[in-house]
Amino acid sequence: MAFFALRKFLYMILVLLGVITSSFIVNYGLPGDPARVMLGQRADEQSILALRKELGLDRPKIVQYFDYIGKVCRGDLGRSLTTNRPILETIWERFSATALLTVTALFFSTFIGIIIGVIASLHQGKLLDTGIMSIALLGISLPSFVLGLILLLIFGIVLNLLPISGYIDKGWNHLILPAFALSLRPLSIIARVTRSSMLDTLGQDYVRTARAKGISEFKVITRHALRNALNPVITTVSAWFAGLLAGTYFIEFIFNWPGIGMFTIDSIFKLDYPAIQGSVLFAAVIFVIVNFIVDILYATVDPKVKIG
Amino acid sequence: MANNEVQGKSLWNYALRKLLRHSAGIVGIILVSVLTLTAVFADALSFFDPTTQILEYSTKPAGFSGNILLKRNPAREEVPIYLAIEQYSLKNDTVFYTELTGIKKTIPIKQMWGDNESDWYITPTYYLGTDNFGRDLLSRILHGARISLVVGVVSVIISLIIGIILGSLAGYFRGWVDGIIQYIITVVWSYPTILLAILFSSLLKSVDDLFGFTLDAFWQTFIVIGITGWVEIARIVRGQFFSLREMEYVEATKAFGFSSFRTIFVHILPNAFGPIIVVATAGIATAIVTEASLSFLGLGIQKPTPSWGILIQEGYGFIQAGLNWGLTVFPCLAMGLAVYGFNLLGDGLRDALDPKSVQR
Repeated sequence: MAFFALRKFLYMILVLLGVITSSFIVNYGLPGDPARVMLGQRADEQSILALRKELGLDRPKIVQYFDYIGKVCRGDLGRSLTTNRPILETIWERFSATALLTVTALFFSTFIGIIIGVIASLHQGKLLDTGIMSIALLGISLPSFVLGLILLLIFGIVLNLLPISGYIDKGWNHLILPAFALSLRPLSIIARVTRSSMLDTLGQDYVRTARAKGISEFKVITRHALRNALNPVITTVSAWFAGLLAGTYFIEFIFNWPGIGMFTIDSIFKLDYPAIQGSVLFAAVIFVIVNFIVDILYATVDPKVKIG
Repeated sequence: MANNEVQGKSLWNYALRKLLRHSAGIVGIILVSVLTLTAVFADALSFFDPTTQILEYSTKPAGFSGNILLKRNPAREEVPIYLAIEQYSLKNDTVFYTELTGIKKTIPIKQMWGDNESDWYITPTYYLGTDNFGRDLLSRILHGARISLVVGVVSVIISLIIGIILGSLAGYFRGWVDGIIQYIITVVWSYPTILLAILFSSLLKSVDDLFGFTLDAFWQTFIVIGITGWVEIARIVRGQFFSLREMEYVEATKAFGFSSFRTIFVHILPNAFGPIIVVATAGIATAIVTEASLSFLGLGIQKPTPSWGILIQEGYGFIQAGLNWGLTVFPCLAMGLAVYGFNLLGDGLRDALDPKSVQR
């Protein structure tokens, strides 16, 4: 197990290096002047020259590359063009807001998704099952910003039940709409996976044995079928963490939620290229680390995972 | 001579019959067909050109009926000038009309559009209302279908080219080739797709020329979505090749001394088409969503082209003020149905092409 973890860890470091390298290639390795990209097409020669010097763009690319790796490892993602503050500082300030939103949505979607999936699997082929699965596919089809806008319109404006803009410092009910909007997509996917996984286990001999023993149907489903059906669900939840992270960008923007996503989208509108680049790199790094943790957790939970 | 041969049916034939019995698949086929027909006949279906502005008719509600005179445009022969009016009358080859502001004006009939009264006087119904520039929302949504479909198909073709090449090389050669390609896949996979697309398009937007080419907003969008969407395809193709390369016919191609290139692309690849078609169909759905997301942020197709993402973004400004919710809801609905259609079709195809799936 220790060897497995170490190997996974080393691979994670390698992937992180790849992420930083690809970020460098996209931002500095392609033809075109990065200083001009950062300052925009209308910048004057003076400030471009100054930025070139500041970023060390006059040096050979290979020197720039190692310099870039060093900087990223020290947590230096550059400075924002609009606020002139270190980008990582801003990201850390906003991290808790994004984490709160994402984790709330993740728990909600996992919990409700599994329940819905189980209900559908118990009514396989009936109207309830078809209905749930059609709605779930619709949930997958709609991007998060569309779901966000529709919920905002229904609950925030037409029914006027919930606040549509702002953070929890103005009241916890500000969390409800964005978290719900963010969770619908993963919820739909979790429901679908739970359903098909449940259908597999419900046909197994041990479920029939459990039923034959006269155990109550509720116990058969929760203790015998669902327990064994959960493994693929866990993989899906972890895989969807990335999708969830990506969804937060639009949801935060639409609901004016002061997290990393809103910072990134604000940066896009302000053409603050270093900030865009920094926050994208940050998201990728977080995702790689989360994946590593999930892999390790998964291997400890499921004995079937190859630890060779 | 008796012909006792039984007509063999191909896998595709069986798959098609299965798909036509799959209820989700049928709904998918219908939605995708409607989308395709809309895209092809967008010009004929819509009353207005999607960029025609009649500023007097800004943000009118759904079902609003216009009252419009068409005048010849001295600057541009092919497009008329639209005049929103209260009423008009025709006397001695002169048109007397009242503007919406109440001001009365005249135009000689020679300056009117076309030859007949029905050419220069129209009362169109704006079934879905108008946007803030007085453009017909329905016409814009219909033309948006064309953009979404083109972006979806072209960028999936780009993804397919990259994904098939990398996936088949990894699955066929295994070993270090697979190691490297798997590594690239893992690295690209680390970026949430939309963020990678944001990074690329904000870069392309700021660079005038890349490798000496100037890309217009369309090609930028195709390429950005194409190069962010190949990972899923590469994974599927790789998995297929892993099992298919063990088949006897692959051994036979080796015995014949065929090149690896020929074995991969002529012999193995056609046998992996089923899963590739399924993942490509779902890929079109994802590409449509990515395009709309990018356009919503102003990073994709550029205004005034009526991309659904742009329509939603324009409507978003009104939704916050609690006004004209149709400007947001109708484009959202259109996109939702299109993506839903491709996802349903993908589901149906997956069940139809899977020989193990039970006939229902």
